[in-house]
Amino acid sequence: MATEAPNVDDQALVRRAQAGDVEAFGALVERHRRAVFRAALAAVRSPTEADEVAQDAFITAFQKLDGFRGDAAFKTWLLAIAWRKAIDRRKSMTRWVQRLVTPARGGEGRYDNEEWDPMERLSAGDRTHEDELMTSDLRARLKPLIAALPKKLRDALLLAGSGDYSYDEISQMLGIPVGTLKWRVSEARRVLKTKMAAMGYTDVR
Amino acid sequence: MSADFDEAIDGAVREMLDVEPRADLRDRVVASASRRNHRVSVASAFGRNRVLVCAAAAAILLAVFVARRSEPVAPQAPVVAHGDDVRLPSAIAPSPAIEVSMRAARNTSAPARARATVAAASLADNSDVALAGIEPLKRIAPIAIAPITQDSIAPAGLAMSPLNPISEVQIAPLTPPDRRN
Repeated sequence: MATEAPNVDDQALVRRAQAGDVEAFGALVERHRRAVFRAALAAVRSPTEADEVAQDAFITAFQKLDGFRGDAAFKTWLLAIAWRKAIDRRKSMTRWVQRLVTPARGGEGRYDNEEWDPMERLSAGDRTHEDELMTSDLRARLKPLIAALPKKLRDALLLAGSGDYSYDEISQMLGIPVGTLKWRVSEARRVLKTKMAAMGYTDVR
Repeated sequence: MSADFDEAIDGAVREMLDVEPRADLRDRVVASASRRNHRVSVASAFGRNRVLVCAAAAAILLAVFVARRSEPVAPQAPVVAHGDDVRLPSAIAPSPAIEVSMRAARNTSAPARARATVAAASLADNSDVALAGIEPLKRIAPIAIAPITQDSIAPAGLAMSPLNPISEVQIAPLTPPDRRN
């Protein structure tokens, strides 16, 4: 019975899991559960939803394990599955919220090809109330601003800022070139800085 | 209010994602994978035996079909309607021997069919008819057919009468045209 296998690489565990060793797959789950969970959390922003997405992604990975040929790293392959699952979950959440919230299209800082995000609308709508409740700590003020970013910028910023993934992994997850990913991260920072400046903060740099 | 924006953004992002997955994630996934493995093994076992099961079922169906085909056909009284739909009593129904003979006759050529029909009619089961109180049929003498004579169909010789001689046509000379002044 395999349990934790710190000295065994992913490929060996994958081969054992492909042969039907469920415990070997359990070791892979233990090894990558945080990365998968955080990728899901970056997309859906709800720990409960992210947990379900992570479980779903691992089970799907196990079902498709025979098709994994090792052309890419297992982690990259797994994260791609998790990201697709998370995006699907986010879309279904969006559809659910759209029934509750009347969309108010337009607004500053919006991107032409960006879909209207009711999740963003919810957080933005409560911003005044949040501001009253939140401390004056800048980080606390930044969180709703980050949540209100366009999805493409927010995904890139959160995944890159988590420290769990390399740029290559993120670019494969999102299906975009590394250069585009870097631009999105930079653009997200620029938008946030502009908003912080509008709130009266000054950058010490 | 002054701050390092980049540092603040990085800190906010880390805080937003600083949530640990539930500790039982691995157990839930492993349990689900084990259940799936079990289902797959059961399904594959059924898949292996499925061919045998299908072959056995096909053999049984084939055996039943062949057995039904080889059973003798139960004679059924033919129903003949004359005008009103009156069902004839089963007592006058042709016997099995007649049925077989007539069936054979239907499958043969016309002259043979005629002979077979006559023979079949002569094979009437007298006991059945007696039960019905009807006088049994007499034996039918074979019908003698006179041989066909081969008459010549060649037509008699045709005589052609000569045509009437055509009388010579006399053409009168044209009268000279009148002189014009």
